[in-house]
Amino acid sequence: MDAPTMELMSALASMFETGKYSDLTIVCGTKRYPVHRALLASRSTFFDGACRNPFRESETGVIDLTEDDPEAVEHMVHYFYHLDYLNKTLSRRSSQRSSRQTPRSPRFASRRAPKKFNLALVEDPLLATASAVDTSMPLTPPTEQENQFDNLNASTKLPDSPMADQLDENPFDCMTTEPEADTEKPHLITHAKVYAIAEKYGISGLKTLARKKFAHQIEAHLGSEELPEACQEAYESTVDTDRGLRDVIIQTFRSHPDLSLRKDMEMTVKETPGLAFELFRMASGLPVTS
Amino acid sequence: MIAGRGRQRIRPPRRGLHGDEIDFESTWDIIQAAFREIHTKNASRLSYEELYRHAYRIVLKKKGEDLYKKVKEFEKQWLSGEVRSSIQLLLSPNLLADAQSVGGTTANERRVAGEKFLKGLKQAWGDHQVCMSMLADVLMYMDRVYCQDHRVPSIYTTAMVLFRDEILHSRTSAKDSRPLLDLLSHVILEQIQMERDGDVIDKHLIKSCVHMLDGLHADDLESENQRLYNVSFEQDYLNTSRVFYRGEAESMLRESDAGEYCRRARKRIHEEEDRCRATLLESTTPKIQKVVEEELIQNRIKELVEMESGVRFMIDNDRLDELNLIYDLNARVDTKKSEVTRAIQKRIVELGTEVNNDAIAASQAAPPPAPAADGGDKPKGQAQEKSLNLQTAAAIKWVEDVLVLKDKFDKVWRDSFQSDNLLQTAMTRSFADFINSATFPRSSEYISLFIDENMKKGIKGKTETEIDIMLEKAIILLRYVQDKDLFERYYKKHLCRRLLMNKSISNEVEKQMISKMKMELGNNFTMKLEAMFKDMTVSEELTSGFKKHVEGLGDRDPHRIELAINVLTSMTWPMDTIGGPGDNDEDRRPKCNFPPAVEKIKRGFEKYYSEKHSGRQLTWLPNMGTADVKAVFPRVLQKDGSFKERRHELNVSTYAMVILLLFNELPAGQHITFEEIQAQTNIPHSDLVRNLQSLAVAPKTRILVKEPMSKEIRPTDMFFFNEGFRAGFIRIKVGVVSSGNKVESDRERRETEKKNDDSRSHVVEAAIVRIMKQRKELGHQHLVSETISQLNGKFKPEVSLIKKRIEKLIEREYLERVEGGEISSYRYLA
Repeated sequence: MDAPTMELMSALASMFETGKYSDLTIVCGTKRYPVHRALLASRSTFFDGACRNPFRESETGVIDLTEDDPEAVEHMVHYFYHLDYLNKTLSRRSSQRSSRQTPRSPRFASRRAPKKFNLALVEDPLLATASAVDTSMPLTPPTEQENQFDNLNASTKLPDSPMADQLDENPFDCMTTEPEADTEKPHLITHAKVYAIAEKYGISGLKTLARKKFAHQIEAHLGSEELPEACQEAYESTVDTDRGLRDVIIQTFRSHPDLSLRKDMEMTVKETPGLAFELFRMASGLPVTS
Repeated sequence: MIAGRGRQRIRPPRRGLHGDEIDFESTWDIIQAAFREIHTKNASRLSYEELYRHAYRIVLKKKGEDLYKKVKEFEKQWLSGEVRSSIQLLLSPNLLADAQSVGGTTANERRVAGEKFLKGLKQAWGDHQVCMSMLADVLMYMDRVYCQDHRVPSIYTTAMVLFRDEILHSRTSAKDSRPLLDLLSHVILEQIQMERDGDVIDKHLIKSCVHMLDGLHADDLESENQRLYNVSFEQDYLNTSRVFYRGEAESMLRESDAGEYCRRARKRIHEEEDRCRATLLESTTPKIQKVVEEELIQNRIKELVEMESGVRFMIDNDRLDELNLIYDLNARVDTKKSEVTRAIQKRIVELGTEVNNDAIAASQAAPPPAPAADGGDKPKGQAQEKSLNLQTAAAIKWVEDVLVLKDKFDKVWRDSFQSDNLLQTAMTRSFADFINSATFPRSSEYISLFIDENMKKGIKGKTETEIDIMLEKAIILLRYVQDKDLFERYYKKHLCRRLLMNKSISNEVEKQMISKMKMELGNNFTMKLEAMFKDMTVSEELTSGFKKHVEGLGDRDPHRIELAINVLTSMTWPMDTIGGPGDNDEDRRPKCNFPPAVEKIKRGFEKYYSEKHSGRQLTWLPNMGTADVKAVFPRVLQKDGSFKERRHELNVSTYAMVILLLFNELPAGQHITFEEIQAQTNIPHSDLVRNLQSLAVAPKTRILVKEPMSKEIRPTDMFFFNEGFRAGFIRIKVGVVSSGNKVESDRERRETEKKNDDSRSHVVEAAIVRIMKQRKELGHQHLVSETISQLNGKFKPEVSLIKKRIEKLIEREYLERVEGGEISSYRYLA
């Protein structure tokens, strides 16, 4: 990454850290996120609408998202400033930050910002943002689908190794966080929820990113106990025409027929008519979407 | 809602994920109530997030279509209820009455009523837009998912269409069935008309309403040309404007003069332009422009130009501003500006013809010259001399007048016509028309005379720039002259006189003139003129060379005669003018017998010359020469009683010198008769008569005495040496040969034209042969037109002349007719 991009990224991260110039607060349960209207409104149609119109939110400068899943909200806010979520430092950091009332001293912030700034992690979000432009993703023909997923898998592997490098290169980071390899845990439900919230609030970059993470993780954690619930979440949190996670799931079932034999999966399929219907179409050799 | 976190091992009990089955009706009630608040401008109490979430959930639960329909129904109710009635409240009775018939209310009342209506409508439209934009943001997820997936227009668009249908297309009132839209157009048109009549109106207000019309479409396809503005307003606007301007043009033509008309028309055009910018839409500008231009200009320009105060009046009174206005107007509707052009051309020809007629009148004011008895056609009396001077003055005045005219129109062209190229061409053509008019054949001669006059007198004491301006003027006129060959003929003639008689003030200026002509008319034209100058230079060298040669002979004769000589190349100089042998009739003029002393030096020069240039023949032109003669008058008693010898230097013509020398041989008191002089000298009759007239009749130079004393010279007259001659000066110039360049008499003119025609015949023949040599075979029409175009720079040959020359060439077997061709054509015979 070149120096100017680094500069921007670290500036954004620092804005998030300090809450400096914040002109909007997102409330979710007990958590409060001081954020910036310009940054959010330019990337999310929902926040744009909230800031633009003379409703209560724009008058008070507070948007209450308590009705949304708190974890998804946290990831979303994190994404606005880091172009990524669920990187290993996330949970501890944000919880520290959110509990802290006073902003960090400027000296501290300026020293920390570049350190915190994670080269490897940024590579991924940029790709995600770029691919967000290509919104056409109805993957109906099964053969092509396979190829596409191979590619997708290959590319999603990329961030793994730099992340490992990151640990070696930035030993200081270890002081602030317990190394937690996020990819080791499936996080499938989380990704599905982030995907849903991105869809709900019209954040196309985040939607693409979540889908990519989901696709990567489902392949790596086929045996995960989360998988059935994640599938249910994916099918119930968005409208039928939203193919993003649905295509990934159907494709996974296609390439791993034994999935259907799992007991917990069986239950979920019974409970989730959308999924059941598409699996039936698939098994009958019909196009998944009619 | 408590959704399970990924890491939790124990799954929560299954509930309807993301909330229970929602109750559509109750959710809609919440949303509907909120929308009502938005429409009544109480939005700040509402939570955007909450409304967004409700709408989102409805759509997520596949109730998008129901929601869409509900919203649409809600808006329809709102518009047809609240909004429509609030607008109908604004319709005052007089506003409605006016829509049907004018009268009963004042313009001001109507304007106020109209503005009130427009304001209300603008307000309603603006509110609707703002509210719908808020609603659309709340319903964003519905737009994104339901509207896109089902290809229905966004809720915002739908609501705008509803405004059109429920408000603009609604009845004006219960009694009045016309749609509100018509009333709106009518009110706007009325306001515009008020502005045209000088009122001040609220432009922004109208512009807002116009924007509304521009934002809505007449159909649901939203095609470009179906905007309400275009469909329901613009055409009306153009039509009423057309009627208005048609009437205005009528009354303006009746009530004001052309200049005023132009000013007002231009003002109207600018007003309409401004109106489109400030009040309506710029896309209307070209359309209304066309209407105004058609009604105020196109349909009226002819009338306008021909008005009493029209173009002619403007030209005559130097109304340059008005001319500019009318030009500008004309240019708007006609790239050729034909009406103005036509008027200008007509006026140029009229004024030019006046100048021509003045010149003719001035030259005819004098009595017509009596037919002369001999070839010289020199004026025989003072009156005639005077009349010729008068004509010369008329000629010069003609040139000056034409130049004044030219200056005048140049100024008009530059200041009023923006140096328009087309008009320049047209004006040039008109100048050429009257200058070359068939009723005025003298332009070539007059121009040459004008130059002659300036070369001899005019440029005296002038600065270089002034002289240059004069030369340039002459060139300008020359440009218009069609028969350049005729001009060349005159110019040569006049130049010849100037050179030989030493009349030119400055050789430099002469040469400048030549080089200007060279630039203007080309090398061919000036070749012979330049050769004339060369002859003069060579002659100077010859004279001094000969003088040296004579001195070298050693023979120091105190009575030696000095010789200054001009050797002229016969092809270059106009021999007919200087009386030398023409090309055809050689030795027409008898050789003069020179006295022995003169004869001797003449032979000497001939010898000297033939040594230098062998094979050249010299012909002497005594009629062109002059001589300085020293004369001694003996002591005789004078009238005043003095008694002494007087010496005078007489500057006389060569002929007079020859005559005078005869009296040297004569004993005192003796006489010679006219016939004897003629026999001894062989001087041509006419020349002899004129010389004797100046020697014996002219009162101041009466060196001879004639008997009987009379003005006429008769063959039997006797001549004596006037011993009692007396003059106040030592040097006496005996002016004999009338040598000034003057207007030709009609007879001379006919001769000149005949000569010119003769030489044209040759030129035409040469051109024909050149063309045929190249083409070998050519149709008659082509040959004629090519000949004309080849000779374009020199003159415009008559077709009959070309025909005649073709006949001659066939006779002389240069050409033959091609037999059996469909069109008559000719073949070149090598």
